[in-house]
Amino acid sequence: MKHSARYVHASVALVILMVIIVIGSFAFFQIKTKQLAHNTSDVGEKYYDRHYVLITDGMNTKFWESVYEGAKAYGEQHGSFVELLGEATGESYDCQGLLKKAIAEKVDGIIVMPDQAYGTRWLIDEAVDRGIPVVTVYQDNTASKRISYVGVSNYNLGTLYGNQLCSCAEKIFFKNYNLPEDEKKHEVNALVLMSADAADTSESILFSGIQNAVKKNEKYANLINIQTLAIETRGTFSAEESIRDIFMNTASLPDIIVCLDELKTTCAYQALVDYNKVGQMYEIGFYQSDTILKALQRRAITSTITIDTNQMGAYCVEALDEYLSGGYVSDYYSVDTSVIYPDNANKYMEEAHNEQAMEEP
Amino acid sequence: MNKRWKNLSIQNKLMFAFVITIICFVGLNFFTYYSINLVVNHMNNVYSSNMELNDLLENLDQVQTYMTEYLKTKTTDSLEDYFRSEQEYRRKLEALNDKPTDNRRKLAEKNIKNMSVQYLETVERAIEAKRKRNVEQYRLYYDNCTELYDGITASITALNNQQFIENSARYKEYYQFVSVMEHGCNILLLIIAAFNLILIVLLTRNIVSPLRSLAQKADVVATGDFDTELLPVESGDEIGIVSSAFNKMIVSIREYIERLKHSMEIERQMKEKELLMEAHLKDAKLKYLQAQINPHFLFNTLNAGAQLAMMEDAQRSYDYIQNMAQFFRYNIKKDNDVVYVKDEIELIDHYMYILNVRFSGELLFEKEIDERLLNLRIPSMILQPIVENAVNYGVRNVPWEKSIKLTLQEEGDVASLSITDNGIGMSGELIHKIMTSQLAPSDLSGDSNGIGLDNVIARLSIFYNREDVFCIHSDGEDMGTTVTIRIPLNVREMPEVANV
Repeated sequence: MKHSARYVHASVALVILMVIIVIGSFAFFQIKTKQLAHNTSDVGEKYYDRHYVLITDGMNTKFWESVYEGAKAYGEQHGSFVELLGEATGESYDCQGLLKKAIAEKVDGIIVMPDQAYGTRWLIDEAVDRGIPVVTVYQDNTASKRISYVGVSNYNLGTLYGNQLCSCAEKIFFKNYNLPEDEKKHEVNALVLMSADAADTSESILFSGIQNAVKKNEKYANLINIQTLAIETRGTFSAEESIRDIFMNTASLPDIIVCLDELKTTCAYQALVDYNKVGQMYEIGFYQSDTILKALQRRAITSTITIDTNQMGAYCVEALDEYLSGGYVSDYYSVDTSVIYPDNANKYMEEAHNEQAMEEP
Repeated sequence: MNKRWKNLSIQNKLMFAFVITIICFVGLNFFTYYSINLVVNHMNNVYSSNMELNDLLENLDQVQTYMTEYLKTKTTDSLEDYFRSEQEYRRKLEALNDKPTDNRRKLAEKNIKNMSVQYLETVERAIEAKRKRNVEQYRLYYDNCTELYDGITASITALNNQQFIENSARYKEYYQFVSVMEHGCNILLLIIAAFNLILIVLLTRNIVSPLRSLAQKADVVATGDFDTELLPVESGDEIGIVSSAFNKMIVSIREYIERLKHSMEIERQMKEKELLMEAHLKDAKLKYLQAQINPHFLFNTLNAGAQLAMMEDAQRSYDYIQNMAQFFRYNIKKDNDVVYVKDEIELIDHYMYILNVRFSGELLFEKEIDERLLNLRIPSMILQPIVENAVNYGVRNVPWEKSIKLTLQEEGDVASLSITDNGIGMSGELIHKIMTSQLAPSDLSGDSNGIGLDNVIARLSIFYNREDVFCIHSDGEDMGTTVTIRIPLNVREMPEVANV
């Protein structure tokens, strides 16, 4: 092999290498630029036939997130997009404000957990009059022109709570066997935390359910003393403060504390831990957030009553779809309820984690 | 590829090297410019959505302002302004999305658009009520408009904020990317520069390397080494052509040197021959001169004697002296070393006459001559020494009649010139000694005139350039001796060889 041939081959190789480097770098930067433009553009967006909005009270975030996910998932499958209204506006609207906004936006359907404020009913009616069907969820507004209600029967829910109350009372009385006579309990005090701003009858019906369930229990009917306490929930931090107030007054601490929503359940659980009352007081909660399930696993909460939130959301969209396509819809959609104990908390926890893993890419 | 490259001229090779490097740099610059331009264009568009929303908000504000002004003042100007702004606002609304989608931004656009449509409807109603001077109604509509205006403003602001956050993140990404690209381009530029440098070194080395080899080879040749290996000619460029010419030059020089050597060898050989001939001739002449004391004096003296004998009417004495004078005269007049055969035979005639006078006519001298051969060329002073030897060593002391015979005849491609005596003959050993010049000086008698046979043999060999020109034959003791000179017949056609 001559020197010159080697030089020529080396030169050709060098030129090819340079061309490859330049073209490669060019391609690399082009791809990166396109990727950058692609990442920031509206890729993968999907258009739908209908636009529904979900209006909640802004509290019990996890609960409503779950309801929203259920509604959204069902809607995506059936050509409807569900928007959680008030989420991205940056301003806090009340229920009426959101209803007005939804009406102005001319959405195809409204799912609302109506507050009991005066005027909400009229706004629901105005929406329906303007051709926007309204479905109430979790709480009903029977006087309005809403097309359907999706939720649980408050009376049945109350019965579930009542049964759990009796179960707790049984445990307390069972402990009496091991206690000296002067420490034995002859009566169980239960405190039901209700909402001070609830102007409707739903909680009253629920409370009636609790009372009736207890009364029906022949063994403990006269031994359980049920009291109610109205907790202010409209203010941002008021629920937590009100619950702490209960624990401050050690003289009148109840044996069982009954919470009717997620927020109160979480606050009460934290207060139990902070005031070292775990094992001394029994808490019957509501819903199955991560915190509540963990509390169940630690046996800080005795039991929690949960409703199938995904099903609740799906029923809402189903009701709207049915009404828009047919003009008629069932007046009431009943959502499944269940009780979670420390023993089956693990199962719910795993399910929740699996769902979370599936949602995350 | 390699072959094509080799056949390129240096100019084209250099052009190629420069063009390649320039293309690489231009390509790189183009790429850098294009990429950065692309990213900058993207960056410029990043905040365009914010600007559009700001425009929309501004326009909405104008609608609200002009509507309020009209409701307050009911002026035509404000109404015109309202219509203009309302038209503009509707035009801008057309660009907004109006379909339900899971894209938050577009969903917000849809909501804003629907709200705006309702707002504009309400505004129209308010203005209509104002025209009808229905105070209560237009106040109500105004309140509704203001509420909707606040709602739309809040929605646009929220969307604008959301867009701004997203756009800022996007801008940051672009900015980081531009920074990465800047560094990347710099590194790439350095790499390409280094590669180009290597490329130029390689290509120029490729061009210069054969030139260097040529220079080295020229140095080697300059030291006189023409047997060095020829340059390998790999390229068809100018250097290849020069190398090829250089190789041809070396080959030509080699051939020239070879021819020169050969001719010098021939010249040397001829010179050697000439010198040898000269040496022998000089030797012969020297010996002849040693043997004679002033031949001119002797010739003149003998001529004077011949004239005296004539005056005294002594015819025999006159003939004798005349022959002697002719004999010595031959030696004087023969300046040329090459003579005709007839001259030599004439000398022998004179010589034999003298000897017969000396030996009282005892010597019988016969001649058998083919006269066609008399003009053949022969070195001078060849026959006389042979005849002298035949007389002195052959027939001198024999008791029988002494006979010397000279024969000149053609024998094939040679002329045979023989001197035959009937003397004591010669042994084979003696003949061999004579022919190989091994005869000792003691073997020669002092009666000779000086020119020996070895001289004769050497001169004949050199002159005719052949070994078989001279031979001696004897059948043995008392059987006589024959000396033969074989003269090539083509000697007649030979150019006269001077100074032989």
